[in-house]
Amino acid sequence: MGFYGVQKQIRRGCICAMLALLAACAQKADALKLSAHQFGVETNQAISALDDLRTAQFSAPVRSDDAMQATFMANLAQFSGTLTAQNLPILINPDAITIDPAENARWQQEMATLRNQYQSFAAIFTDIGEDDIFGAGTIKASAPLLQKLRTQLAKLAQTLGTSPPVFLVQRDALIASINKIHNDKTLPDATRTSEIKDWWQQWQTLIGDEKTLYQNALHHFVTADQLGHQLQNQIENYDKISTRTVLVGIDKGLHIIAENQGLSESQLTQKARSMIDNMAMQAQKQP
Amino acid sequence: MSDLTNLISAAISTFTALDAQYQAANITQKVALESARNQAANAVIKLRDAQIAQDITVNAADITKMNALAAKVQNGAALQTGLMSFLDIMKNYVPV
Repeated sequence: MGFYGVQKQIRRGCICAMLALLAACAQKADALKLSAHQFGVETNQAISALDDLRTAQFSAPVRSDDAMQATFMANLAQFSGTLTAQNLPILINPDAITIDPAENARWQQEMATLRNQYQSFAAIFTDIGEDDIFGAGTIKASAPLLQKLRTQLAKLAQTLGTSPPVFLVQRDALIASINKIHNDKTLPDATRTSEIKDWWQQWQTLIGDEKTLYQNALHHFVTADQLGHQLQNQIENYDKISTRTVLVGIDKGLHIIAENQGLSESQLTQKARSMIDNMAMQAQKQP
Repeated sequence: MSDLTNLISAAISTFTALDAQYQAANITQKVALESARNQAANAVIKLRDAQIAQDITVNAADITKMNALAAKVQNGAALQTGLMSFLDIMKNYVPV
């Protein structure tokens, strides 16, 4: 092969190497996109959990149609006033609370804004599948925004931990029912025992439901923070890390989600506390 | 505890006291008490919502930055796709 033959081979080799490099970059970018997606999904679930806790605070106990009908009939028999469009719902479901629709609308708007913030961040990486060489600087520029989103997440978790919401209306209804049993001296012993046992079961269910909902929220906040921390590292070191490292990160992310699902309440609380402490330390370091 | 946390605590106590009275009342009295009970519940909700609102620090300017970054990534992706297609065509015309 002559000089020109070698030159042609080199040219062709260069083009193939460039194509291979671009393909490898696309793989790394795709992997980062998945990491950002994991973070987006988890934050969305954390926000939904926050919304669920707000609703549960004032939700009335769930009753069957038959039970509601029986309550209405008993209330109607006892009611001495005139039925109106305003008081009829009270006779049908006396435990229900009416939350100001304007406040509910404002809250829903706030939750939509929160969701949009985390989705907008994940969307930075949506089209990154083909990009890397021209996008590495842009990817790194997203780091301070992620930091801000993570600090916000930690603050929300801290608020959740400071005063965990309880199911106020359901608690009050059950307390009223045990008082009724307690004060009714005419009840035969067997009936009283049976009613107390029934009440006890309902109380245990309520406490269990409160705990489950709170733990679920905490679980999503802790997991979102861990995934956010991992994504932060990937973004800040994007030009230094390999595709494999990002893929290992995604695998680690899946482990984090699975691992957190098996944590006890105290372990979750501990993780949430350390998450908040870490974020507070980072916030202090920022100018 | 912050002022808001203390206020929430006080509002919950007020609601609980009022709700205990409501639960013990007969249906006619319940109809009379319903408005006050709702007001107490709404006070708790509004304070809790305000507490969450205080935690929201990411603003519209940050969203604008995110959208601008997404647009930059899109442009970079288009450029890289173009380069890949160009190189793919080029390799066929480089004689060996």
